[in-house]
Amino acid sequence: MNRESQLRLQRYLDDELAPAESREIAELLVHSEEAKALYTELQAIKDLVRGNELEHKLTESREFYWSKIAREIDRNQPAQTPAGRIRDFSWLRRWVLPFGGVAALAVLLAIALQVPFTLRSGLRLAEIPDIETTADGTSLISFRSESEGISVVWVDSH
Amino acid sequence: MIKQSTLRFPFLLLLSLSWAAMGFGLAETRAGDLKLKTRLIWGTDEEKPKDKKLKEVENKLADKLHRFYKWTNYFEVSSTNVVLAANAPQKVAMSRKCELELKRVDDATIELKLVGEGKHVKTVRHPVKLLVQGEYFIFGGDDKEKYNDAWFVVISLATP
Repeated sequence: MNRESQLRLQRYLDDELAPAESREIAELLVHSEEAKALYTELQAIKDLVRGNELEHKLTESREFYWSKIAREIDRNQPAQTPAGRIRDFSWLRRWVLPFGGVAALAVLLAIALQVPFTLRSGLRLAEIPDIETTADGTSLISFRSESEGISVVWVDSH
Repeated sequence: MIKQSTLRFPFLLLLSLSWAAMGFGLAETRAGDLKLKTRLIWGTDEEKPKDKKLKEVENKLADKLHRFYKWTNYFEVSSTNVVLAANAPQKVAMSRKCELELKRVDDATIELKLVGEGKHVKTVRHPVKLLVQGEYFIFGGDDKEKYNDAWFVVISLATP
């Protein structure tokens, strides 16, 4: 008997086969001594297991036993939620924070470029609002001294 | 009998109001009109040329220029008074090559446009309040034609 036939014999014993297959196995058991011996052995094992299975007796009522299981499930449930949150935060940290950092740097750079040279150089001079500059080949320095009461736009054409 | 201190307070109040009125009257001939003075100043280490009609720069302005810049002498080349009314821009020829355009943007702001050799150099907006307070607005630069000299276009409130 091959392994497939052995498995079919076991299924026959457990009454799991279709009627047509059951008839085939019944035919096999009539003609094959090997099949008959295996069937007898499997039958004996089955009876042995069924008759000697240990019974697990609950020390408390059935309802209390299952309520303990339900409570244990509930107790473990919150422990899983923070893990999910950590995963969400990791996603934010991986994508949103770097993009946010780049955006913040871009804003700071834009602001820095708006600050006139005199302020960037540390001089305590106020900004003179300029609205247009078109002269080519010239650089302009604007500053204001509040204490001296003077505002200057210096045109450097060198 | 009226106390002397009782009379002194209204007198000082009237005096203050008169000064304030005079001050504002100098700056504003009508509501919105602004009396300004524009000057072209030459900064140099040379002595005053005898063949040119140049004025000494007033002490207050000369002190400020000396404090900020290196030149020994500052001479006034030209001076023009301008009455700047709302919606009436003014053009002032400071020299053959330099022109200043002035415009009131609103009650609080004037626009100053510097044109050199026919080319727009820079336009700025400046608070009227600063000029009324006695401050100066100055465009300045190195003289292209004469090494180590400089020019200044000074805008200030007109004085009587």
